[in-house]
Amino acid sequence: MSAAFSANAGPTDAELAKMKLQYQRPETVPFPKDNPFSQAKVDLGHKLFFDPRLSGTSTMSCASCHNPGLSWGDGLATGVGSAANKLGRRSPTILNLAWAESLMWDGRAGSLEEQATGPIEAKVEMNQSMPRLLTTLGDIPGYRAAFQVAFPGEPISAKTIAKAIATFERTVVSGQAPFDRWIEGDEKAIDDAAKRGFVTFNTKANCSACHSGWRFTDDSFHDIGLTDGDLGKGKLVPGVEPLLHAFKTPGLRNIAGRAPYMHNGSVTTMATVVRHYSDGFVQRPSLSPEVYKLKLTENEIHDLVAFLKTLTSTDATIAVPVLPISEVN
Amino acid sequence: MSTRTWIVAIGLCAFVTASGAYAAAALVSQKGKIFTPDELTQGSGSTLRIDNDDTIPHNVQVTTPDGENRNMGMQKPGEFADVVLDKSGDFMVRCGIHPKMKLVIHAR
Ligand code: HEC
Ligand code: HEC
Ligand SMILES: [Cu+2]
Repeated sequence: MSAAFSANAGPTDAELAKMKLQYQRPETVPFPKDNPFSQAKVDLGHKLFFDPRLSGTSTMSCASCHNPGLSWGDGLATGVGSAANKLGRRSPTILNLAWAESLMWDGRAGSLEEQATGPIEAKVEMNQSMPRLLTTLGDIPGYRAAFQVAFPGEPISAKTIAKAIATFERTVVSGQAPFDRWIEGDEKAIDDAAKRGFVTFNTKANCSACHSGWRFTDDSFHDIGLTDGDLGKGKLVPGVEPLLHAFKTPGLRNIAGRAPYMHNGSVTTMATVVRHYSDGFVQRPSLSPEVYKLKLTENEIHDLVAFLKTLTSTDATIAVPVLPISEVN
Repeated sequence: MSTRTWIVAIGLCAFVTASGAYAAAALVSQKGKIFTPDELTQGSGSTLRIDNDDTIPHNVQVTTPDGENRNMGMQKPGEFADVVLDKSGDFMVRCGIHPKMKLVIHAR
């Protein structure tokens, strides 16, 4: 047993090794059969994602709310759309969605392709009309060429736009974090507090019941006892009690860069998140049975936060692409 | 493994006593957040019973071969959902709480 755990009866080396095994990163990114990977689609999707001309007033791109500098979120409690419209929920990160089972806080979109054109046409978000966007893109020679290379023989359409954006999004994967180097065997990659936090995360604090696997999510929906009135997935699927106030478990990769937290941005720091699970949640029939009073000590809270901080990668920054220029007439 | 054989045996009994008519028989179990088996072929027109043998609730949601969505509500531990296979083709089943849980029923 390593010195890090000797203070309290921690796991044996074998138990720790087994715990660590669940967090190994995959080596490849999955792409669906009906929209396989191609570099041309990634390049096109990259441009579209960052292009404000996708919005009705040419002022807002996907990256306005999913900003690579803010762990692909926007750092706001809830999103702000066209004409300063406040959205009802926080802008989630788009990291590691190639592996997601469903999208949006309430899971209402089944695939990245299905999701991609939603925000473009939503009045409260980018407020663009699809026919108008198709004309705009078709008038830009650089886009005409890029669509031809990515989708030979197909017209520029909502479908090809969605496929390109989705393919780009699948390549947005969080990079190696100190935690990954530790999982691979570098004992110096993270400090003892973080190592103790990892054990607490997997044992007493029960976090891994929901934040499981290398992305730290079970892709499931749970009510963790936040007090706002948003019914989450329960609004879409009536008659299923555990779905009331239930939201998709967010992955925890690069979590330190994504405050404020939760679907409504109501929790400002990682320590407050941990305190919420310790004893800050409301009891109600829909509350997940995996959420219960943890009675965490101040040291355990400190260690859990130290551990969460090791999940942040220093990714090569994704460049803001050079966008094709509109024809001057 | 032995439980599975037992459930199948009961299924056959029900089939026989119903003298030819299809009766709902538990052929699929939800346990450990997975459907077992996760793929099977059934006669179209029959009813397939999905048991919740887990310690947590599940929510069976069915997409019919022609794309209709059917929410079978919540199944608490010990409860079950009857899935009516009233079409020919593939019925896709997913848990609404744990969407990683997937089952394909080929109805022919
Ligand atoms: C005005 C801010 C805003 C803009 C612009 C925006 N989004 Fe979002 N995005 C959000 C919010 C808020 C959500 C969560 C909504 C919900 O779950 O109800 C979201 C959710 C998502 C998700 C689901 C993430 C997950 O974990 O399930 C994806 C993918 C996504 N957006 C991609 C895009 C793309 C692609 C564009 C551009 C075409 C875009 N967004 C434009 C705010 C925005
Ligand atoms: C019952 C399942 C479950 C358990 C147990 C659980 N979480 Fe969560 N976690 C969730 C869900 C669901 C959300 C999103 C809730 C919402 O926004 O309404 C979440 C949100 C979070 C967030 C904010 C993420 C973001 O992007 O906003 C952090 C950080 C977090 N959890 C850490 C933890 C830690 C640390 C533990 C253990 C002390 C833990 N969770 C235990 C399901 C769980
Ligand atoms: Cu389930």
